[in-house]
Amino acid sequence: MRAVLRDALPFAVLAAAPVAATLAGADWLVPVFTRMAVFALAAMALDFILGVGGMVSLGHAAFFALGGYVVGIGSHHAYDGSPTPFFGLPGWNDLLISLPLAFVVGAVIALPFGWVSLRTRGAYFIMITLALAQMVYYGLVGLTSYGGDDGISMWWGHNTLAGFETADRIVLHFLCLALLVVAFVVLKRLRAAPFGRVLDGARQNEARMRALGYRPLAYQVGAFAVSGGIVAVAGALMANVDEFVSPGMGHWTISGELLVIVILGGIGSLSGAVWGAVVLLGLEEGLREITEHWPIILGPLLVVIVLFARGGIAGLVARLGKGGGRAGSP
Amino acid sequence: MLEARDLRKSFGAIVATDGLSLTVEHGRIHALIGPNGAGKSTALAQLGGSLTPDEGQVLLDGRPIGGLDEASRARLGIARSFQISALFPEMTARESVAMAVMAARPHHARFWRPAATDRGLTDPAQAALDRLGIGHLAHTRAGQLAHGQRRLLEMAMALACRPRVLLLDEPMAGLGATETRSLTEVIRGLRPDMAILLVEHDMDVVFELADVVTVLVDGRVIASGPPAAIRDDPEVRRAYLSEGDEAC
Repeated sequence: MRAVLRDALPFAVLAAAPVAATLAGADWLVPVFTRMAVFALAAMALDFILGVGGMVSLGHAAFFALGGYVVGIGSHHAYDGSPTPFFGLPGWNDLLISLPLAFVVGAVIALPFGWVSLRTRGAYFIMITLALAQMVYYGLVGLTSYGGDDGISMWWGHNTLAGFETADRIVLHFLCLALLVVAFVVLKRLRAAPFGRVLDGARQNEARMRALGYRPLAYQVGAFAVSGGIVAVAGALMANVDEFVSPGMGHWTISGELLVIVILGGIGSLSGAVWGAVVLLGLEEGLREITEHWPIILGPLLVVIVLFARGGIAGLVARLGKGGGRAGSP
Repeated sequence: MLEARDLRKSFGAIVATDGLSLTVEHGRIHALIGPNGAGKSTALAQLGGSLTPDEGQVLLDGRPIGGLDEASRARLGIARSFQISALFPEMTARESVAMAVMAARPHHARFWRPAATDRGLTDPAQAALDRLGIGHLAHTRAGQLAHGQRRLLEMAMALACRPRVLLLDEPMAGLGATETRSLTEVIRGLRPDMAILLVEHDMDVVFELADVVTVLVDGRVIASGPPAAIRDDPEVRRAYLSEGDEAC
């Protein structure tokens, strides 16, 4: 019971904060919290393959950008009425289409990316995921019909949801939060199920898994695809928050940021990704108010947190929850 | 049941397996002995499928399985224990054995149900732990077990695969006298149900358990037969048994 409450805590923070901000008359803060929910969703999907499956992907920004472009390209054609290059289908501007489509596109692209990357392990795996993501990044830069470097501005607004307007920031926020909760419940269940157990076993001792009769590769590629699909959904949501997509969503620094969120929150904890996103984006936002040289403060701060909070913020919260005074000491 | 025919394997200039042939019968314990570096573990790896021989055949029930990978052979009922315990350090003993149980049961069965509360997994896992006398350690993480307990967990995982052929790579290595005694009894109890290939340095155990002994030196079989004959074989004595103390 206690563990359930502990898991629910970061979600509750993300639910309460924008409401409080709105009541306090600071509703311009709401998108900040929505960004946290969206990055938490992407980071949680990364944590599933990193924490459970041991796959350190430095290429997840590619799926984030692809999801964004699913929304951007659909909106572009929906707005000017031109057919898309895909079999001449019309554009789309509804989340009921763009979110599932983003998941499918992300997962389908992640499938070969994962399969190729999983030829290798360790540092090589990191480099190959990075290289593949860079290919996507430059591919998007080369999409001159969709703005190239400048991306696609969606100044006419958000996707609708089954025809309903989602322009209200609070509505969009709770939509993102709801999807984050769904992803958490599904991934947590998947982790406990045989699928997740096999991934976990392969992370700890892959050779032993083979000797027991498993072929871990299929599970790993499958998990990579699910992860890529969820990250693409996060990208599609991000496009709606920003009303703008650009190749920058696929820049490797976004992949790095997702990794920092996972590590900060606590690798393998899933709910830690939410803590990580809240704290990292919160710090970025807060420090930016203080000085334009905010990364100089953020960097050392992150090092300190990672060094002294074993198991990340989720681990810290767990120790505090047990009432032990040892929290914070290594 | 499991048969090796003229296996050869070399690593560069080193010939690790040089024309190895042997047969492991159901209900028998076949011991493979030899000095360090004789190629015993290499031979086991070729039977289990983690190494591909350069030449020769591996047959299970008369059917060649040389083209099958390790996972496929495991699914056919060939289980393996490792010389250096190969465990899942973060899993508890029961979770570890449950992985083996899960591997042996029909694929994708109950794939959505949490493994930790699936009694179809936990009950057989607990039974395997109990059989090896480490049932009380079910909830201890594998990484925190003492050396001897790890060896027993290693055995429990191999058993939970419900194998037809069991390949044991030095199961007694590093065990105390009492543990060796009880594990010897466990292996003896398994004999009627499967074919066992036992690589072991402890000669007391080998001569107590084995129905057939094959002696390997420099990858080559120098003798094979019933334990009594092997013990008296002059070539074996010269090549191996004289340095037996050192090898232990």
